[in-house]
Amino acid sequence: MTRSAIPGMAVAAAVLVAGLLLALMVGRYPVSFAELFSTIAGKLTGHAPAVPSVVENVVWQVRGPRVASAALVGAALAIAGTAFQGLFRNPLVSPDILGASSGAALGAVLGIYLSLGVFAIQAFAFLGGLLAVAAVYAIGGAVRARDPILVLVLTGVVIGALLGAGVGMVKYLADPYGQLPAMTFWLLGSLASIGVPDIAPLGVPVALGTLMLLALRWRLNVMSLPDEEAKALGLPTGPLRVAIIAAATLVTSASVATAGVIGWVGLVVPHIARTLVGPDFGRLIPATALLGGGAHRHASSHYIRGRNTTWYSYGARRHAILHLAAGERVEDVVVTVSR
Amino acid sequence: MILSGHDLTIGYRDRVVGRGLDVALATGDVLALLGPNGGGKTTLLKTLLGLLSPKSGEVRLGDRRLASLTSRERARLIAYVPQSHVATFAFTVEAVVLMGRTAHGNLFSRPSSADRAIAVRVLERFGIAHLRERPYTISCYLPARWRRSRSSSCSTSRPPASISATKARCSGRSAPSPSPVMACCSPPMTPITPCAQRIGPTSCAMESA
Repeated sequence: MTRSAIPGMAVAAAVLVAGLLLALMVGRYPVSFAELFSTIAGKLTGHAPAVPSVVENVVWQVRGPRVASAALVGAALAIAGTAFQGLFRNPLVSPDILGASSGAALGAVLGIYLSLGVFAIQAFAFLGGLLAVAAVYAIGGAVRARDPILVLVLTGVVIGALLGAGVGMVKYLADPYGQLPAMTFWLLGSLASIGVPDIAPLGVPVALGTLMLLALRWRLNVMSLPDEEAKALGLPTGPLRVAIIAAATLVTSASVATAGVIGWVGLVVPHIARTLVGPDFGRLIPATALLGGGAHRHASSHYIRGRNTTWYSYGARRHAILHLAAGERVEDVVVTVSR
Repeated sequence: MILSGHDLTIGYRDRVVGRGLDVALATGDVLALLGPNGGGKTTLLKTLLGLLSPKSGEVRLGDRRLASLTSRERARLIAYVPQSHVATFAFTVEAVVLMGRTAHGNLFSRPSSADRAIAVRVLERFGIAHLRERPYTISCYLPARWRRSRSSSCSTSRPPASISATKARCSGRSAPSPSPVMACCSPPMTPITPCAQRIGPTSCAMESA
């Protein structure tokens, strides 16, 4: 890494740290910096911290998993957006361009419609995202065209619209008092019901996809050249494209399955990162991960507040979506959650 | 090393663009290819690069068939600098030159310090080392020079055969590169004659489709 990347990386890292700390402190139950510090120090040293146990609960049980998954989801979407913008040579592309988000949305909405459990809904969403992109790639690849990239993006838009129509249809068919609000909340995107056990199903695919993209970082630079130039530089552009799309889709589907459809992080953060550290993917991927992790907290805590859930209760909170899906009214869920 | 096409029939899936083409370019050659728009100049270039396979005949690089080389081997020996380039992201000049070294690393590698040294050397050779940290998207006033430098960084040991389709850049500037340079020019883009120096056994016939 040359000298010029260090200030940009430092800014990105500062955004992440500030974002994480703020997210742990701010909320319905405010935690002061001193309390937060002694809570973390207590965990690290093994001594009992000199703070009320409710503070510990808020930090480790309630906000901790949310903040960690918000950072993961933000980082994941930002990385996927970066990869797609490079691959499609288009700065306006976001991670859902190939239908990953619409596929995941349809999967989740179907899961809620079939009154499945939280885990099954997330699995449906994850598989829906993967299947949608696979279908887009298969259909786009079957069309003979001079510009395969353009065909792929157009196919993605068309399939995305089709899946969006499917979501509309399932919502129309759904029970308007129980299932419909659950679908709407899920589609809004929320991390309110995240608990410690949700971190692994999110973290593993995100880590896999990110490592794959990091390993290909120099190839990603060259892939952002026009196809023929990349070929003339000796790259197997077809297989590389499949690998990059697979990695980015893994990452996007996992985060959409956990957090719902949250769009803008994947489009905007790569651009902010590019102004900080330049367009070289070797620096860009770490920088977008840091920035996306920091930036997404703001989006998520907004939703968490909007959900009217209580910060320091965590027993029933985890399965809010399940309750909604099971047909309880929204007020009931809020009552259950804040008890 | 000689890059040659023998009795080439070139074209696309549903269309033949040229027939009976023989062409040979040795290291150090400069060849300007003239023809009307749509006449098949670019098709011939793509065929010689191996991006398009000939419909009949064969392209040879030295004593090997071009088709028998892997794309990486090919990329180490032949560089391609297209006449127009769409720049999406503002890579630095050095990064763009380094992309010419891509075929020398494996799938996951980044350019090594040796690659960087080569890139710097090439930039110095073209007198643009001071621009290495600049974004290449604003360096467009010297496209021909950095384009050349990208192609020149393609090989260390021996000079690469370089195919350049720089339409507007054919005026007789002496290139420090020892590579054979083949320039493609359409008639409206005159004057090209001064740079169409043919060295070595080169013959080229183009049949208008």
